[in-house]
Amino acid sequence: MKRKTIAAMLMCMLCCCATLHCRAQRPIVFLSGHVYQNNGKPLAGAKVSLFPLEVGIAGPMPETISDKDGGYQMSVPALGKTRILARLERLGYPNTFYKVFADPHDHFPEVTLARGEPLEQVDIHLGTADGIVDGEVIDRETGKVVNSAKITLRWANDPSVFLSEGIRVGGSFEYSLPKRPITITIDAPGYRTWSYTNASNSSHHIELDPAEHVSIRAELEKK
Amino acid sequence: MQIRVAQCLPKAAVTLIICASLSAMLAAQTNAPLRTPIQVPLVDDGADPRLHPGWKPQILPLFAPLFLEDAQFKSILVLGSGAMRKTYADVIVKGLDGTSIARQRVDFAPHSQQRVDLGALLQASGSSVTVGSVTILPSHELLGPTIVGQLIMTYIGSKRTTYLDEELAMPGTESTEVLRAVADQGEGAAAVVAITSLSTAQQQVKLDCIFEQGPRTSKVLELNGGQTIVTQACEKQNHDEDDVSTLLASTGEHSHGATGIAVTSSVPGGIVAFALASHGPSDDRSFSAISFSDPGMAMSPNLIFVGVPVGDTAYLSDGRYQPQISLANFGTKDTQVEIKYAQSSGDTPSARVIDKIVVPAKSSRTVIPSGLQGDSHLQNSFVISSDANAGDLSAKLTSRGDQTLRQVELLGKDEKDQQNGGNHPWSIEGSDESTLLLFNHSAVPKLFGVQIAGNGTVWDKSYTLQSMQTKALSLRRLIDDRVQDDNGKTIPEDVVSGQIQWFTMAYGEGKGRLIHTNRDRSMARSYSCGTYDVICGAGFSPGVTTFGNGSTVGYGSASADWCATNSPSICRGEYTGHTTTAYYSWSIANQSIAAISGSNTAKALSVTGMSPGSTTVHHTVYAGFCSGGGQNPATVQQPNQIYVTWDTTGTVNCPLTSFARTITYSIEDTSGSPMTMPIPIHENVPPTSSSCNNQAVQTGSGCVLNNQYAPGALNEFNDYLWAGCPSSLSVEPCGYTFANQQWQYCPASKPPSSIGTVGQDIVNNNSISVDGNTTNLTTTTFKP
Repeated sequence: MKRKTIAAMLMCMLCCCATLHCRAQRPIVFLSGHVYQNNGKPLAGAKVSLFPLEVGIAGPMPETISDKDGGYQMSVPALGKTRILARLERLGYPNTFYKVFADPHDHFPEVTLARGEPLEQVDIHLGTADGIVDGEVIDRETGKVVNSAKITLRWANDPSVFLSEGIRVGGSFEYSLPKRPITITIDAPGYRTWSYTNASNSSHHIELDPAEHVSIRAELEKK
Repeated sequence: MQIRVAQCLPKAAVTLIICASLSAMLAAQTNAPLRTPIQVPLVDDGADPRLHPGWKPQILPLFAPLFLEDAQFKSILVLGSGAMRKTYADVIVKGLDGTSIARQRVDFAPHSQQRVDLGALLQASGSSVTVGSVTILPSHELLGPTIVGQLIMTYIGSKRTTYLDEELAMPGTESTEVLRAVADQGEGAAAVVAITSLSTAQQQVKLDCIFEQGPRTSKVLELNGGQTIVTQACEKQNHDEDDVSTLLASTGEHSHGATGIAVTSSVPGGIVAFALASHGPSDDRSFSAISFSDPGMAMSPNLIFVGVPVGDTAYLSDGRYQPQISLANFGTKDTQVEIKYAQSSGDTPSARVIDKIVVPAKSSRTVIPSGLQGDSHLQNSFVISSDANAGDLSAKLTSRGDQTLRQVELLGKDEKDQQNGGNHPWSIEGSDESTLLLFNHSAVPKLFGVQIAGNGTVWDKSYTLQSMQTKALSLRRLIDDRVQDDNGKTIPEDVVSGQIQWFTMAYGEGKGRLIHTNRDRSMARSYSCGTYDVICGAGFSPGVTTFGNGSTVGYGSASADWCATNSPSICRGEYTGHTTTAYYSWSIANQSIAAISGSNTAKALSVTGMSPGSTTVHHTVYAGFCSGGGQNPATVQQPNQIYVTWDTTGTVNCPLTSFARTITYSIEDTSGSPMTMPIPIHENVPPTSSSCNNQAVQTGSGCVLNNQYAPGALNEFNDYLWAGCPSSLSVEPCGYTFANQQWQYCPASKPPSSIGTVGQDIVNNNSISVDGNTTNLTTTTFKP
């Protein structure tokens, strides 16, 4: 009887330990630095985020916004080797966590977030600002906004690289795109799939030069 | 911004028309007879009736009965304004016959000081006058006495320079006919006194002197309207009063002890007076300043001296300093006098009675305490108490140095003086030093507020002084050490002068003065102009006023608006700024909705949401007779569900195939509206690892405010679902699975509760399913 009790207690302790371990958070690391544009000027208002290279994620990740001097600071989990990203879509700096926006010329700092000293002066030097495409999604017949649409971007030369998301309320979208051919398709329930076509050369991809700005109008046709 | 007001309402009689009930109360407290208000000329009694119906401020003129401007004396008028707005004062220089010689308007920026060189002003007006009086007329637009001042004279006719301080007098409507003073030990004539008539009519003035030994003297003078007469106070025979230089030079070689001087006018409040006492042989002469006070205005028989040099000091010229106390009993009965010495080391005070003496009726005495140990930072104070009637005992304290600086003079302050603050100019230009000295002479700890203004900035800090504690605040050290105020601000390093204001919560709690020194020049000047500071309103700085049920947040902080006024019972006047120094009280109308967390008497309030709803939070700031307050709403929301506002799936920038999904949730309340405040949340999922890299997956199991996950979006957070970059050894598909992902609200004071149960997550490197959906979930709502 006594032996059973002890065994039960040990089991309980193991359970508790497992629970504690599960609840135990990774140590917090202080991270700071500045965000600079390719002309060397500090970039204010950029979202700074983490791209863990060794672990997966299931939940929120800390983000912060650079101040007027481009400075940022944040407390982050010790995620091991991590790439530090910065984005500001409206100025041509996309979220390069997603490969569709990645540019071979991007160089984001990679650091090891581990228990220990704070990581300071982790500066992010952004490359050339990408071109920007924006537009709206409307019903061809009524001219009204289609709110339930989904937009998909793919590399034209490797369609396995993609990004797909819903169109925000209001039917508008805006992306910073690296200089490479990219296809754009839009789907919505009850509508035929809309694909981007370049009016000047009839190609089915868009390729923007840096700092180029293109506006498109996706008119969806009912099935 | 802050700072309050000031007013040099000195010894010479001041008071205002206060309500009869208060007068009766104060009279009962002090056994002082009730006085019938009399009329004195006001600069202007008009106030803006739109602001304070039925109330009119009294803006009274200030007077310096004596200036000397010749080869041996230089006079500079130092004026300060405690007002929050620009203002001005008119300076009128008069000759001995009362004729105006020169006039200058002095403009003030908010909380600033100005200096008027009387020599330059006289020269500019082409006058050769060397002696006379000065009248200062503050702007009639002011709603309270915010202009303070002091006439500083410098005697350069001897081997060692003498610095003399003449506080400005401001007789009021309740002033009496009598002024009294005591002159310290000296040589030659007891004192040369200047008496200025404030009346337009001729009047008789009686001068009486009492001594440590020998018979009293008395003489009567005729004083024309507006005239200033300068005479030897205790010589029966009048000399040629116009020849002041001769008068001062004629002080002989014989010594005299402490001397009491009384000046009686035939008109209440009809005169102001100031005197100089001579010291030392003729080839090394110096003078001390003798200030007069109206005994009818005294509220107690006890006097306080703050920041007395004793022994070696850090701020004064080299040498050891020996206090000397001069006492004069003008009453008709012998009085028992007790001298208490309070010395502080650091913030630790100690106090003891060092002497008890009897001063016979109509007599004076000198006390030189021996064996005192002093604090080198002037944290030494004296309390002179007696059984005399209020105003019958006059006292003066000088601390005499044995080297280049001959003496430092201090004005005694009535223990129960209704002034509860002071406003003084400060400067640390060059090698000058300014040190604020505060003393709590009450029996319990007291709160002192200190505001330091300069170059448009105001530094605001509260100090609590123990009973009998003297505290020295060096302006230079505050700046050099970058001492933060109660708002985390420091005084900019390029600020080297300005105005300083201090105050206590009620009168009779503490005293203070500022000493301006220069060791190289053996200079020491004392500023001790008193002020009436009252709370005249309250401010509120909101923190988080809408918060979640169970969350504890910083609701906000209150501050006190202060005004310069004429009496501690008049809770209005000229606005001088707001400060955090006050007493506070908070209450909540419906505590079932929100409850106070922690203290309800601190300047800042923390609250905890108890149930969804709205209620009202009341704040009150108070000090002395006056208070202010207000009320503000508090709304408690209950986070109830999460709504998908954005859903992105894409290929991650990994060497091998890897998908990620980012879902942005908006937290909504019970009505389906987005929450309007940060919410503590966490993810209720078990620990897991990803088969893509065999590493533990980073989850959101810690309770964190949601806005740390999505800065800029108050009610949103992002949920990243990603198996991590696959290692070269991983077999597709790889990833992790949650059987039932749930988001919980986790307030500090309540158990976590679900705000959205999402369901099963299957997160693989090539496909991500949430609640069975690999497609867009935008506009989906998840309930608890």
